[in-house]
Amino acid sequence: MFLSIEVVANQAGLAQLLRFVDEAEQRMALGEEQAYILRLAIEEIATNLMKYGYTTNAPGPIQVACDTATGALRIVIRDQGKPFDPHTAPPPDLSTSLERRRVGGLGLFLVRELTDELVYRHDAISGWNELTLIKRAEHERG
Amino acid sequence: MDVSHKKFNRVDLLTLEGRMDAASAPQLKQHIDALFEQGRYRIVLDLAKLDYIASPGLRVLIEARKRARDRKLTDIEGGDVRIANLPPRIKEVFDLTGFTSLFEIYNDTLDAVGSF
Repeated sequence: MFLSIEVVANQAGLAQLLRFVDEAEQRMALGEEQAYILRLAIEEIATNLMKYGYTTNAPGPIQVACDTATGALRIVIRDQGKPFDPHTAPPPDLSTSLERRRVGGLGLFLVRELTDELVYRHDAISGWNELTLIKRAEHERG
Repeated sequence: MDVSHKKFNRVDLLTLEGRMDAASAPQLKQHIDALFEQGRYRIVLDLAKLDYIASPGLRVLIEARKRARDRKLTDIEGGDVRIANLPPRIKEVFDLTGFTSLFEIYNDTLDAVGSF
């Protein structure tokens, strides 16, 4: 099963992506964890692209494709915004003091923690960024 | 996400059902803001039927608790936002992000309501 969509990186595009996730959940035989990470990854990465990847006045494309050909869920998210490798994102503030606690960076952190593999590539010639996330089925993980 | 509200004498119970994503997190904020505007700062969130939370929802929760705790209701009592019934998937997110230690979490709704 292979599903894909392209949207513009704005609020309407995010709403389209969330509907795409609803459809993917119904049509793909995903485990509970895989369904969770599919929604989380697409929502958090797309939100990040809207905020930081593109400038507000010139939102560009977000392409999302997902498949389960190998049994694992593979999500590929492509964009033409500013190059950004999620591995280089600063760790979020996980301190236990409520008063001092900031909540920035939690989305990418969750995506990194909850996926099994996360690979970032930037093509300097075409300008496309490509993020590939893998979430294996629960019974395939050691 | 559906939000239902039950008003007790001293406490308000909000029961969340479904998914709290970027589109629906502001809905919870509106409910909480409305309670704050009425001077009601003791809130229990029942998450038993919550299937999904991401960073926008986490942001609403932490900001709500900060605002409630800033409100000193009496000399010895302040407001608070407390959690009841964390489902396993949501608990995993709470554990990863350190939210488990930021909130008072109860396994039973009535215990959470009675804790105020």
